[in-house]
Amino acid sequence: MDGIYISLAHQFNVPKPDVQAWFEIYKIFQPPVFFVDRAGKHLMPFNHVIYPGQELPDVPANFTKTYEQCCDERAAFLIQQSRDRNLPIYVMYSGGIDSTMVMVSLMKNMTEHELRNNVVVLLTQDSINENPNFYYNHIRKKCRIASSEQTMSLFDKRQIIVDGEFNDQIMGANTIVGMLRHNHDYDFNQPYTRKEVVRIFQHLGMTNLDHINRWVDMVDSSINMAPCEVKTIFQFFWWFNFNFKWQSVHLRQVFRADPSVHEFVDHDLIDNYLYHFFNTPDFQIWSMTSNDMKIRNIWNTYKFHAKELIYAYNGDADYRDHKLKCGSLFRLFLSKRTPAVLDTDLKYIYNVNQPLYYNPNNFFA
Amino acid sequence: MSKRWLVNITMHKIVYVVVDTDNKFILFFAPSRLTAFMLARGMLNSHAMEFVMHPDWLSGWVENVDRENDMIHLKNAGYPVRISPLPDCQIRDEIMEKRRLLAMRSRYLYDLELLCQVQLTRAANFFDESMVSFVQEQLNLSDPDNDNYAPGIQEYAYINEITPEAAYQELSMRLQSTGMIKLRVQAFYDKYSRVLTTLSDEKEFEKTMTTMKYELYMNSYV
Repeated sequence: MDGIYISLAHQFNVPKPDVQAWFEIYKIFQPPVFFVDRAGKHLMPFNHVIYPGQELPDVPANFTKTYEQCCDERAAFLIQQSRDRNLPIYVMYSGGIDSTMVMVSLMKNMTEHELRNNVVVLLTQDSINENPNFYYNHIRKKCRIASSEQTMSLFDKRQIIVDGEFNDQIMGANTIVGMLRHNHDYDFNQPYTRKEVVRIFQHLGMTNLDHINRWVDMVDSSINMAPCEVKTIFQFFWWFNFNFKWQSVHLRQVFRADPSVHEFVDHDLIDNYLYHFFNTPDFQIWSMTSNDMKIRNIWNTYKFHAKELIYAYNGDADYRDHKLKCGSLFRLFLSKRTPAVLDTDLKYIYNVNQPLYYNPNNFFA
Repeated sequence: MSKRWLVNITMHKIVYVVVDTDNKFILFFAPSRLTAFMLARGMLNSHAMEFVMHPDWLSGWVENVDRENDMIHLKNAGYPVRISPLPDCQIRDEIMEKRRLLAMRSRYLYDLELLCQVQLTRAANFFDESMVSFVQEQLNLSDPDNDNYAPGIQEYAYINEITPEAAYQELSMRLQSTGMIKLRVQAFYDKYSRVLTTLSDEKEFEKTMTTMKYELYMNSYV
């Protein structure tokens, strides 16, 4: 049985009962999103393998780092990498909370000279529109810029690429909880129950009750083994995002790398040239031990802590008080041809032979 | 006279048709210029034409034609355009089949065109798109390695109160973004319009459109 790191789900929609139960989730998620249990306890119908190093970390009893500390330490590490290896840092910047937090962390920890000469901010007009004050007051004055439309051709080991991936996973669950954001009275902090979780899945578009229950069984079982507290509705979906969607996020960019750089795509590139800023054990441990720092009681407080730190740097109260989380990465993938599978040999596969990957001993069987 | 025509062209709608090259029969009224030309490209012995809907040019006939059912052909190649009913002896099954096929292809080709147009919204990066080539020229005339910038870049910098270097990068970024988005959309349009102009089966059309939608935007969702 061959292994998959990342894939397009609709390429695997074959008429087997277990696959159909698994595929039910794609009534609310798009096919490029896929799920792997990072604890390795619950297997999917196709052989999705955990990327080395992306397993769930243990939670030490004496962990006391703050989010800001994690950010500063990550920035310092990346800056040191850039200095030691004499490589420029290219930051994927959308103007959203995550990538603005990345820029703030780098700006706080770099000299003006280094920022000007060693950092290139990849952006588009959309990024400027999303956070105009930060662009005009900081980026435009302090950094070099280039179009982010070329990002997927930069995976050639000539620069360190840094993005804001995983802030969503450590802070909550934009995908699902975000869908409930228009219901202002909804209490995210109520204890999660099967009945309520099933109701939410149905509300979002899943229809087959048996299939929904199978998914809830799986997440519930995984929560029972989690090294942290998962009790509320918000935490349930955070865990789903944090544990099951992690790998999809880790590899979604390299999955869409331009064919011109496929020859450079290996584990060395993924591990040492493409840095997701918020992908460190410390950020994950912080996430598992800081439930009170992710959201308050209404949706616009999602990522409030990151917004407060951005405010402390640039004084933009409007952004702090009113900026809502909205996905933007997809824009870079629009109108691009996507392979069906990136396998564990890091080969890009366009035509899938499903039986090669089918695992009959999966959780949905 | 030329002035009057120019004004009228901008004021009047345009009709796009696919015409049988052999007997000048109007096979199909297309919804857009691009679709008309792609339809013609996929149909042997046909070509696309467009008429400005001006009374002097079309003699008012377009408004009175039943575009789906009337069998008409062009009586002349120049203007004003005159038409007449296609003689019964020329209404053959082959022509009716061409008309049916063009109608089916048009539906999907026009969908493709509109979907691609939607993607281009993101490419609108300039106040006036027609200045793109001038911006490119100014960028080409600049030499950022030696801190040497074309007058247009310097003026943009001066007005925006930024350095010429920042102006150069900002304009390059916008130009690059616009270009890449348009190029990708063009590639997608070329790829799928070519396929659609060869199909004749409804199921094949649907299958192709589904694949196209995944590639164009659904696979981008994360």
